[in-house]
Amino acid sequence: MVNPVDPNKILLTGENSFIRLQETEDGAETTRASHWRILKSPSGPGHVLFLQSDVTDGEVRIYSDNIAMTRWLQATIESVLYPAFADETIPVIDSEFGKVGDGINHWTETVDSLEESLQLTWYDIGEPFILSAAPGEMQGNPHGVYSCLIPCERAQLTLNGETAAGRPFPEMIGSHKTSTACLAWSETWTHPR
Amino acid sequence: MADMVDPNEVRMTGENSFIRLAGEQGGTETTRASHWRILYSPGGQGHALFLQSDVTDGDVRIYSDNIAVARWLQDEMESMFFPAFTDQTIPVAEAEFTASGDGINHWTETIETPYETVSMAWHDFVEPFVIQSAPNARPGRPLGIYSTFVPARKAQLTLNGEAATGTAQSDKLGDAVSSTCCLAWSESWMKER
Repeated sequence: MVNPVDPNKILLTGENSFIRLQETEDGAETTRASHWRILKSPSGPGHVLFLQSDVTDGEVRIYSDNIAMTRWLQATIESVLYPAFADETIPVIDSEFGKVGDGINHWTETVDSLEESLQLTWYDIGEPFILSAAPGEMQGNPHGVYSCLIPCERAQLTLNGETAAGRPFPEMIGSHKTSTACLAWSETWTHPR
Repeated sequence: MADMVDPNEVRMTGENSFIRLAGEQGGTETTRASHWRILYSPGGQGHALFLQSDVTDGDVRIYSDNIAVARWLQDEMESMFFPAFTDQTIPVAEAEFTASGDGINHWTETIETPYETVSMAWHDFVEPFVIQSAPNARPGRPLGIYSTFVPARKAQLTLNGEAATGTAQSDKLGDAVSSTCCLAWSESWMKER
């Protein structure tokens, strides 16, 4: 029997759903939201939302219920994915996280702080697929990842009731059609020992 | 980059943590508990616990908050693992499911009906690892899997405060040190198209 065990070390496991919006297909990104639900990391479980959007006037905001996990995630993962989210001088806004939906028709993640309320909603949900990349296989990324990606044709982000401009667009992973707005469930990041 | 996308159809994604207790290494299993948290499946989202134990006098009990998920799991998943859990004449007890813990030191899944409370607790964890296996890679396993296993050296299951006898036993998966009691997070199952 083939050894079923991945030889790499596990960095984290959980979810990393995202929304990236643009006004036009080749236009600039007007919203980038990276939402993490972490079950296991060296700094424990928790949630974090990294957000840069027209509804934040282009500023990066960070919302979390576990600042230790957030700083670890910035140093280890977001520094590779999107350096603007890795700036540890940005304060972390203490928040509560909730979720609602059926995962077939719609899904909403809610983030509430003392002064702000955010909703990230995905709908027109497509067929899920598994992304499986060994460490170093993704360009510029020393880590490996397993993820169950569920691409969505439509998504919406609101901050205190104000809706972010733009919409998701199709994109490709290899020859597989996906979206700039995906639920990313059952996600595990690995690193060589 | 095309080969980073698994070509198979995703059937479900979620979690399938388990507790199997025995009086001694290699001894008869006195408790078998299979706990599912489903984010995506043909039966929708939900939870199910399949339980056979000395605390149920050897009876199989099924608890769920989505009977459609429970029956689908019996048909497609438990039929690969443990036929006693696939009997669809066994009634499904409507239950509420909650989780608590830090995933570093301990984790508890709680299942409550109006008459029963089941508590499943894992602790004394060893290093987690990812397993992956393609559909039909093993006889009797038409589905493939990705899962993040967090093995526990110790576990406890109680039903209305009565603790099941037996202990977790060490196990091997490929070249990894594992256990008969594992958290199994970020788990996806696929079948060939």
